[in-house]
Amino acid sequence: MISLASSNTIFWTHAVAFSLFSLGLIGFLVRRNAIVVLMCVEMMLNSVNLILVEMATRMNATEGLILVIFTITVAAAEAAVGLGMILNLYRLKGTVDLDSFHVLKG
Amino acid sequence: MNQILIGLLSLLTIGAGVGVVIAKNAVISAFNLIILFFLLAIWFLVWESPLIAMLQILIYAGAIVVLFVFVVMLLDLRKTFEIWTFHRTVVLAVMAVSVTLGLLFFQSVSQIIPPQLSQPNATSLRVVSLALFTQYLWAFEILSLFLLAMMIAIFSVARPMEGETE
Repeated sequence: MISLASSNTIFWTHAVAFSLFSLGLIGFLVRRNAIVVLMCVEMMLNSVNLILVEMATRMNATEGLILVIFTITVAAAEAAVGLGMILNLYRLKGTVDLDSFHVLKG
Repeated sequence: MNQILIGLLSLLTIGAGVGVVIAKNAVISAFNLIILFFLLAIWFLVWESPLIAMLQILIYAGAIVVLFVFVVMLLDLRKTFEIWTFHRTVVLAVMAVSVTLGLLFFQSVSQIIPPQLSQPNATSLRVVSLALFTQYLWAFEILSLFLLAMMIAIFSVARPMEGETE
């Protein structure tokens, strides 16, 4: 295994996690394809998982990994429900362009 | 040498993330997502968590991305539209990203939690599964109940709509 205590590894881990979270946030807010928006949500969840695993290993805490397992499960459920909703929206409108949905705009 | 490998891994991971966001085709996004999940599994191995790495490959790369690809194939997306939207949300995105990058800078300047040498006891497979099935058993069961509720929700969402024949 790679030397864990080196602060360089920690820095890179945090840089990757923060960058992935930022990228996911950009994609979530800016992309118009609903499927890609869901993928960006998964990316954000994964970046949080990376931080959780890193902290759990560094602080020798089991709870972090338990939380990661729960996050993965909830993410899977969320993806399934989201894709079901996208399929339904496609049946309603014939597109997955998020800008074409404004039923709830009021 | 190790640090070079870590830097290379970081760059590859960030590149895969960029690929997910900027790809024009949703299938390309999905494949970039698979690459990203495998690279994150390597990250979990670096942080001495083989259990999470295995779960990452099995659940994310094996199930979730396949689900995404499945839906992309199911939908007829030949009708193209602009891939970006340009609202106030772009300003919001730039603000959010600068905040997160600022947090990164703050974190790298001041190490909040001092790095500890890990004793790989508390994150081994044995200890994690023991904790999951004793101390966190109720949370685990509630999670299974949650999955059942999600399944029922998906069935009710995917039901044929009014006026639609089976």
